[in-house]
Formats: sequence, C-alpha cells, structure tokens
Amino acid sequence: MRIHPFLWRSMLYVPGNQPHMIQKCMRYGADAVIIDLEDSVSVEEKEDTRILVDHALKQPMWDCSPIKTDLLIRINGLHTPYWAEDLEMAVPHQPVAIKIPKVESPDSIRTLDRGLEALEKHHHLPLGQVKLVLTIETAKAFLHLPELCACSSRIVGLGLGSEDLLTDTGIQREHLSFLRLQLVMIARPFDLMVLDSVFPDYHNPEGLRTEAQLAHSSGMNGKSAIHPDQIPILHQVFSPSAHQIEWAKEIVRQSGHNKGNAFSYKGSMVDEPILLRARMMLQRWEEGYE
Amino acid sequence: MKNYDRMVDVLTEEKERVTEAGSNRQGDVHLVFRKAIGPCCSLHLTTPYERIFGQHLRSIILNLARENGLEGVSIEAEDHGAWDYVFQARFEACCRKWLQKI
Repeated sequence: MRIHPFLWRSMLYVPGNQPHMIQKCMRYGADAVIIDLEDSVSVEEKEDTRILVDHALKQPMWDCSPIKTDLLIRINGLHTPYWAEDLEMAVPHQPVAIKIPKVESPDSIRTLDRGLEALEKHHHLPLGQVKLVLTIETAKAFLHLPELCACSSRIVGLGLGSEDLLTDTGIQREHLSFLRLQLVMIARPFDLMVLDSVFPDYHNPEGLRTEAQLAHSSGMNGKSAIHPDQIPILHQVFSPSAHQIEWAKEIVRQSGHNKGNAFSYKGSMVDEPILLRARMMLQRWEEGYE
Repeated sequence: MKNYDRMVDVLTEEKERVTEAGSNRQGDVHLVFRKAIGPCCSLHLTTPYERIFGQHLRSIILNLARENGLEGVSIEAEDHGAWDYVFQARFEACCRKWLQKI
C-alpha cells in the first residue's frame, strides 16, 4: 500500500449547466470539484452545457480556492454519443482527472485512453497527464474489476456509484458496506484510491457522518459531496485526529530507538505494518491535511 | 398549386425560425433568436442590473452578433445575473443552432 498522489477526502459535484454554482464552487475548500456533464444535465442541454463549461473554465475564477482544489470533469458514459466531444472540450483545460460513469468494459477504457493520448499530443500536454477515475455502478463492472483496474496507467481511483448499483443489483442499502469492502480489496493491489458515492440527503449531517465513517472504516479514501455543507464533515471523517497524529509521531519516534525491531507501546505490540501505517499517516498529514 | 404550397411552407418555416439557449436559472441568461424582417439585428434585453450593466451587456450581445455575421435576427435576452462568459457561451450555443437551421 502506498500514499496516493491525490488527497480527495471531499469531491464536490457541480452541475455543468448551473453557472452560479460553477462560479462559487472553488470557494468552499473541497479537495476536488467535479464539473458534471452527465446525470445532472438533460439530453436537451448536453451541447449547450459543454459550451458553457468550456467558457467557464477559461475564466480566472479557478484560482480562488482557499486550499489546493483539484479539478475533475465527469463526462458522459462511453455508451452515449456525447463522451468524445466532452473529452475534446475537457482536455485543453487540463483537468487533473476525467471521471467516467457507468464503466463496464476494459475495451471502452482503452479506446478512451487512446483518444486522450491523441488530444494530449494535439494540445502539447505531457502524455499521461490527465488521469482517470472509473465509476463502478453495475454488477457487470464488478465482474470485470481487476481487468478494469489494469487497463490503463492513467487510472488513479475507483468511485462507487451506489444509487445505480443498488438499482442494477437489487441489493439493499444496508449491504453497501459489503460492496465497499469488495471494491477496496480489488483496488488496493493496483494502488488505486477508492472513493465513496454521494449522500443525497444534504439536510442530514449526522446521516452523512455515519455513512462517511462506514466508508472510511471500509478503507475508502474519500467521498463525493453534493452540497458545500457536507465538505467539513467529510474532512473530519477522512482526516486523522490530533490524537492519531500524536500516536503516529510517538510510534515513529520509538521505532528509531528500537532499530526496526518490534516493540511495545502503551501495552500494544508495534511491528512493521503498524509502523508503516503510522508513517503513512504522518506523511499524508504533513503533505496536505489541515 | 404544389409550388404555391411549398412556397407557403418555406415562408411559414422562415417566419417560425426560432432558436434558444440558456435558462431562467440564477446566474444564467435566456436567449431567443427569431427571424426578423430586414438585414439588421434587433435586441431586446431585460436585466435586473439595467442601470449598472445594461449598456455593457447590450454591447456584448451586439458585438457577438456582428462577429458572427448574424443578419435579420431579433434577439431577446432575459438576464438573471449572468456573468459575461455566460452571455458568450449562451450566444455561441444559440448561434450554432441558428446557423444549423439555415
């Protein structure tokens, strides 16, 4: 397990057809914003929205975030006629990653990968600069997960699309944890981040906290948000507490005295995996946690 | 008779040639292009910020119409607090649809 290059505890969705939301989205301190061209935009508005987002991304407002906020763009699914034009619009703006919904087949990801490469060449961007996040929303995608994880070196994360997945499989919400664990277990050998779905009831902070804690304890790295009020809760849940940081510092300090051997700290044994976890927590904390 | 019917169809189509883009959402502008009589472009803009930005917004739209070579179009713009780039994007979208219909 390694430290991931991105810190995406909170990923705020912004509908691409809502200018007033686009204009404000960088102010809220989310780790990432996802400009959405997919589900929040009706078929009639697809083209107009693409033009609007293209113009919006040329504006200087993208530098006003109080923290480093990564830009992602969710394009339309690879089974639709819209994704190629979405990609053409998106790449010149150099988003950190493209989020792909309703992923099913590794072949379609390979096709998109080739398209991305051609666009990067055309716009004189470093090859492989634009990363991919695949959203797993169907049982068929679960079936192909290892193949999907391995099909492009651009892939940095998997997102769980829980609403579509529950609809597709008939699984009830209380069993979502099983799917989260399964996703984490398959993504980890490929060093991919795993990101949880949105919590749709944005008037229910406690419900969000409970669901985020479940995702966090399942090994997920972050969660999508649909309202700015959800961001601080996600940052709390997906960041180590002051107590945990203190613990990690102490473990690392004591490991120096014990020269790599297992040792006892406050009555618990500390060996290599625990030391590694403490080091990762500190490294991540020093790199970006508030 | 057949030719006459076709001519009526064409004239009706021309008269009803309408395209639109944008919406009445906050921060957006709703643009409607209609076929006008004569080569000029006319503009009817409503904005809650008439006193401050009215002239500026009119000049954005009329400049875009000129740059895009639009002729004989009546433009209706209903502003809901849109920034300049939103006007530009919605104009581009409306204009593409208009040119597709020619």
